Amino acid sequence: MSRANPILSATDLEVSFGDLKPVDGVSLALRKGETLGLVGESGCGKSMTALALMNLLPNPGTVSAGEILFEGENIVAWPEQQRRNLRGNRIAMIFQDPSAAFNPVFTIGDQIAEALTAHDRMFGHEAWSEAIRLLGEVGISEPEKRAAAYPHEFSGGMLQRAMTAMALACEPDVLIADEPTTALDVTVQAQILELLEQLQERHGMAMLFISHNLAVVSQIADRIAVMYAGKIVEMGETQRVLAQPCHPYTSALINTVPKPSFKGRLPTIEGTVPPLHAFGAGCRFAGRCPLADQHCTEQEPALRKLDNRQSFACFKELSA
Amino acid sequence: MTEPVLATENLKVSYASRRTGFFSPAPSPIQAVRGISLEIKQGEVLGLVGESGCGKSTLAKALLGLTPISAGRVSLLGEAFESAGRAPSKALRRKISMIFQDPYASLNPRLSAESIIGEPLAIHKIGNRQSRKERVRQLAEAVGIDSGLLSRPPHQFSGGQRQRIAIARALASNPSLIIADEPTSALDVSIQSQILNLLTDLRQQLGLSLLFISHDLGIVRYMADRIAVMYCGEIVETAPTAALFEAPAHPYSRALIAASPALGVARQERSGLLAGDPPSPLNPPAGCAFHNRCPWAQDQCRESSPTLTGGDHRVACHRAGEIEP
Amino acid sequence: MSRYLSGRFIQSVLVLAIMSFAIYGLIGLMPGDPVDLMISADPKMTSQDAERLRELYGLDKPITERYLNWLGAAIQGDFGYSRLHAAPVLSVLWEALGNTIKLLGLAFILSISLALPLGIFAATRARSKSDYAINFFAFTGISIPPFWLALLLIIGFSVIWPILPANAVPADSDAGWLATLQHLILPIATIVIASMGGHTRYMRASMIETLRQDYIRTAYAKGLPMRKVVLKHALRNALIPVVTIIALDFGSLFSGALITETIFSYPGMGKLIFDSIMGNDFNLALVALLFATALTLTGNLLADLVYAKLDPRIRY
Repeated sequence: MSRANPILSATDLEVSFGDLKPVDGVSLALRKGETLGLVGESGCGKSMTALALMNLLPNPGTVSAGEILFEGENIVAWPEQQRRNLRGNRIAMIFQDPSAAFNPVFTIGDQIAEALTAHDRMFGHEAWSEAIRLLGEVGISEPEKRAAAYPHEFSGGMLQRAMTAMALACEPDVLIADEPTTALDVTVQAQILELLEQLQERHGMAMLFISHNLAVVSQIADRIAVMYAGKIVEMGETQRVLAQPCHPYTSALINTVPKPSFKGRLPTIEGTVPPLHAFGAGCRFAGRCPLADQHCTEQEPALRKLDNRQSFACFKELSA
Repeated sequence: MTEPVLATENLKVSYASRRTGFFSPAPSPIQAVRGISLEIKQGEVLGLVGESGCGKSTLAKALLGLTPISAGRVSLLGEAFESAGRAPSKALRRKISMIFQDPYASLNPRLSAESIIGEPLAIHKIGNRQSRKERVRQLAEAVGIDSGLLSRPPHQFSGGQRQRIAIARALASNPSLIIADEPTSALDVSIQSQILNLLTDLRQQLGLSLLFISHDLGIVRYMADRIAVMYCGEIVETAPTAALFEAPAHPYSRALIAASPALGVARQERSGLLAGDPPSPLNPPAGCAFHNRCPWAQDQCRESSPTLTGGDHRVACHRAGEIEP
Repeated sequence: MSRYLSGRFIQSVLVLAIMSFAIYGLIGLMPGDPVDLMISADPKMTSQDAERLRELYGLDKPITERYLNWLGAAIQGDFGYSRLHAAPVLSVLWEALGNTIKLLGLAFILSISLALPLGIFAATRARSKSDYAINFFAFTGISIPPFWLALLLIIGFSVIWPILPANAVPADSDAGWLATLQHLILPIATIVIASMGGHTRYMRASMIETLRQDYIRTAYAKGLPMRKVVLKHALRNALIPVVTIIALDFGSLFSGALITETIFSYPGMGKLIFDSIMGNDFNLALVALLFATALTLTGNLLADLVYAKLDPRIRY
């Protein structure tokens, strides 16, 4: 199947905080109309990757190597002023805890309208009306009344919808969603996933969906990338990767979640993720991998293709 | 037939909401738990599921005696344990303990792991200093914490290890029932399975009963023998695990199951989605608390609140028999 | 809201009533009375004269009766006569109050205008060299005792390098406003340096805390420039606790500048209260202290009201 050029991609991206590298050579590509799920446990570097794409890394983090290409141009070297033109305008982001993501002293309508005025799209009354329209589009009832309300008067689900409206205000080409449903109830989560899918269909944007929850990601992502200790260990079409994981970590991740009707002992992954500075030369998962051997601890496996639909970073071949 | 480990009878818990000013009238109390009668048999794991605001944490706290009961009774091991106006019986308190959700907040950062695990022994005056030390060592071993690490404070342990310490602490007084309130929600998936395995092992070895509270249906399905579904302070359905998932009777249970993401299972069609937000206990809907989100609601649902009826599989719904699966 | 305000008003009246009794009692418990002072000023007065004077002034009656007499008159607006100044209490009070407002009002505004921007600046460059410098000066200001500072300033600018006058009020009462201002420079400087440190630190701490919040990250994610994020999104939130503290400060400012006023011979409220207590001028002391209490209560109420205005989550 022919695939369009990616609108946003990262090539061998590295993020450093002094000596530590929470993101160590990540390559991914986002295409219009497609959702890429980025999955991994806490500390694997998935949020840092997203922040690097937006140039929102907290002090003293920097992008120490690699390229970020937007519409073919490398934006890593761009000055902050230019990155700011993209931020919230062409590339937008929504975050995990919606109740903390809004400024409590301004109305929701004001904050959404601000996304428009910040990029000189609209001003004053026009921006306010557009904010109301956006609230309606994300499924908030009585949007005129709601726009004049403050964040503390909204529920968690409504706030996440409002945050999505705010992110979409300038019709971005890329939407990055960092654990958008983790803090929400299950039934509300389902609504938000539904909403995101609808909006993607309608606006045709590329979406990067980050989560630690494989099941949630599998519901919404067309392709999936699994991250471990700052690296991508497996990547490919979602259903394919889940049905036929090639990397031991992916396989373990899938197996530790109890399947319906499963009543035996749950498989576990021995040990814990080693701290960032403790990595040696070889594969980062080697210390916990049931298949690891001497070679694995000496050399780091690169991502290799199984076929056009899946790639993984492991020297071994996982039997089904 | 042995009596249940825990039984509640029409348990109600309300607490006062704040007054806004010195001269404002006292606002009506918030009814977090609105009449719950449930039973946990010996050696059984009862799963309690529900979304935020449904009252499951308040229920857990009330069972432990951390929150006073407004009405109804609780009996533990067949004996009266607590009721409205009557604090839990001291002698029985050691028979029930709790594991909390946040392993980073539930351990006192100033105490060593050893002191934390041994605290229930000291409080209930079990044994002497020597025997307590030995018991703590045994407990640590049982949960997989190296006894050489016991003198360290919590922040030197990982999240999973802290939760193990919390479990050891819960086991210290030799309880008959442990309440686990979202014990794995704050942990990574790979650690989660370790903790769940540990709980299963301990349960088998010690014959423990568990009240397992969680919002994650997948985990509850794995751990629990029976499940109670809670909504707006009330139990709307209880059933053996398999029966609940095969044929959920209450519309809310169905919506909950349909909304829970499961690996490799495509999301249900849009009609299965529940609109609106979970209700706030400040303003519970009249009649059946679920009627304003229920696709099958009728007039009687707005007017009167249904009661929990049935045998092994109980539902609180006016239209229980009529709705097709 | 009106319910809240009336509740606060009633509370304030109650506090003032209780305070008036407490202060009256405390002053009455002090050894000596105005007649004693008169005796020490005029040795020719006989004890009979003293007796007669006491009876005249009602000083021989029990304290509760004297208090009730005072209260009765006060409610009708008659606050009595100041023995020390030989004038009605209220007129003396007004004049001192005016002076204090001039001095402290200016100092307060200056302190805030300097401290807030400095605090914001320090917070946005936390742990940098400029931040450390600002912190250093702030701590210096907090640590220096005001009286020592006042004396230092006088020695520095009135003695060694005599460019500024050491007293706060020009001798020539018809001096223009420029001269008046010149005389106020040193006392204002003293107060500003002393209070600015604290205000800067509050602003900095609050701003640092605010900048860590998630909604600041959201603001940046929307593409807002740093200036806007700090001055619009962060500042409004950071001001909330700072304004509360400052408004509380405000109430005590009126009676608290005593030492500065004394050193610079400035006839303000602080000096008034001090002199009246030392001079056993019951009437004046009592009313002046009550006034200070009322101002503190007003400051508290203002703090709560401004807080509600800034933070929409607070509603009375």
